[in-house]
Amino acid sequence: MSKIFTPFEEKVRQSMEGYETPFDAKSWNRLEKQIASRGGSSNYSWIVALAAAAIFTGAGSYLIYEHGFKVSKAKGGYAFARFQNQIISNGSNNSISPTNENSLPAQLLSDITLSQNADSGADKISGNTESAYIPLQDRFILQPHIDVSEVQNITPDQEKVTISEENNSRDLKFATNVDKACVGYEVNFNLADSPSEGQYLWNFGDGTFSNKPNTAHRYSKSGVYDVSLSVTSEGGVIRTSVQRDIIVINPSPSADFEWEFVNDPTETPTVKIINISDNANEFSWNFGDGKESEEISPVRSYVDKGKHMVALTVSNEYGCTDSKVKYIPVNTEYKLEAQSKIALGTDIFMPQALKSGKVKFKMTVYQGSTPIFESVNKNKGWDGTSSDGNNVAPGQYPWIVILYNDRTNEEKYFSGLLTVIP
Amino acid sequence: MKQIIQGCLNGDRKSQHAIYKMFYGKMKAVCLRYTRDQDTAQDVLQEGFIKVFNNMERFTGVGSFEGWVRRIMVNMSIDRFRKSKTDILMLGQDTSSEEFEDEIDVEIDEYDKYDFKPEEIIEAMYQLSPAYQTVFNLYVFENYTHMDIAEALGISVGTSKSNFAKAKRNLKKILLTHNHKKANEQDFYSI
Repeated sequence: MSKIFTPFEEKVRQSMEGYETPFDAKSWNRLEKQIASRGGSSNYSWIVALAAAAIFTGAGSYLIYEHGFKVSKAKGGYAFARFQNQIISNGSNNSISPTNENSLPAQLLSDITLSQNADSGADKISGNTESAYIPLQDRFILQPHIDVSEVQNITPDQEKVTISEENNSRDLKFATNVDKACVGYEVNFNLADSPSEGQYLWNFGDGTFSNKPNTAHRYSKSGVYDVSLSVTSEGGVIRTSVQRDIIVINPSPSADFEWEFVNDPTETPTVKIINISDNANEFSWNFGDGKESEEISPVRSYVDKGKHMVALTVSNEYGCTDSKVKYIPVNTEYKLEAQSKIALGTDIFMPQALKSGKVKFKMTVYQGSTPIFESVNKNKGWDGTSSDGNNVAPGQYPWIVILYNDRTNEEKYFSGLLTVIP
Repeated sequence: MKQIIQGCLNGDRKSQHAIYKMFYGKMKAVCLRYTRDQDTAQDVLQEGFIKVFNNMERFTGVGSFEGWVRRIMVNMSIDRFRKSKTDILMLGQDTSSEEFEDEIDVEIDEYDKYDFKPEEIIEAMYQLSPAYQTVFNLYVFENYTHMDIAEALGISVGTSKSNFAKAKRNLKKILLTHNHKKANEQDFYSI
């Protein structure tokens, strides 16, 4: 199935067609080095096997590691998989049980190299930035961009943390109801198991805390947060569980607007609404009268006196939304101030508001349902003659005035009955 | 070509070099479209080629080899985008609100008068937000539908559509301004 492109899209496609950059021979040397440093194919197959085992083995069995892992955080938040509280020595069955299989794409695993460090004898997963030893039960990061040469630069004992056998936080599991939320939205934090006796302390990672067993929090800044939970039992034993990057908080937009009247005094009250929302890229206006708009800063005109509702809902590319409702007060009712009667031969019919203003209008006078006079010029009123130039018979003549508002692209209708007297 | 692929399967460096040389220019062009500078594009390209060599046995022979290599490059770029999404937020690079100011509209048939150079297009795409850039690329060059894009990037179909529309609008503006043509600016308030 082929897509139909607009002329612009097609133009861009065509312009890029066949484009190639010149070959850079040096880049091959770099790549060759990179390939070599990642070891031979046997190493690679071993990792794939481990990865496969990691993905397909059930949660009942765990990976053994007796050494501290050097785990590194990749620049720019490169992909990693988290393992929470699940690394236990059991001596027989080697596998990894990820908390979320989706977080462990096979192609990423294929990029991992484990290297042997001669000094400490520890198995390592090493990367290029911010290297640190982190207890395995807290975090396990798999990441590409491995450079064996950089392993040498790290002093192994410096920040090494050994997994404690007594660590009993593995049964202290918690989860959020969502993994992404917006600033100001409620995020629920719940224990995996029913709460046990003890004193709970949640640290939401933004300087705020809670001591309810199951709790909720609204973040006020965007970011990726680590959340920890400590439970102090009545016997004074403290168990702590940290979940790094447990929640992504996206920025919320903020909806707001102001307005100013831009009409000429003789026009219908016309309001230019000025959008002053932040971090939003979609706007939806509701004017409470069935009219809606998706413009950024719409213009509205009002005939009736009173407070007119304007509701703005904005959203950003992360689907975060915000709304604002305000009421625009209109203090003057727009009146045409049309005469109710004219005397034949002496008076001219032209509503006062049209005469003194610079509004665009069309006025039509009818005899019954037949139009007998039409004007779009404020200096050309109706003198009581019909289209043949003769005076009409005294009586009642309906009229309609349509006002055109160029700014709002609206038409407003006014009508009345004019009495013609001899 | 089959021989070269077989050579790569055996880990033969010469065959790998041949593949690299053969597809370097085209794939670099792909990576340039998805990144914001030469160095990053080169990084993605190198990683992509490593993936190509490591996963050679997965090439089934159905479809062109070039297409397969290209898909790897595009997937690398998508992965990169997905992973950098949160970082972009935190750096506050969301400039969406200021991208609405004015719009340039060119009559449908007028594009013939313009001549966009590939480098210009790439340069212009650097000025889009990463989200706009990625969505535009996937839709226009990779023939993705909005549904595909939504799935690939972990965004909604609506977001994909609106990002695409805005990407296009911004790109048009940049490219047409670059082409030194006076285009019609829509001035809403003048009567």
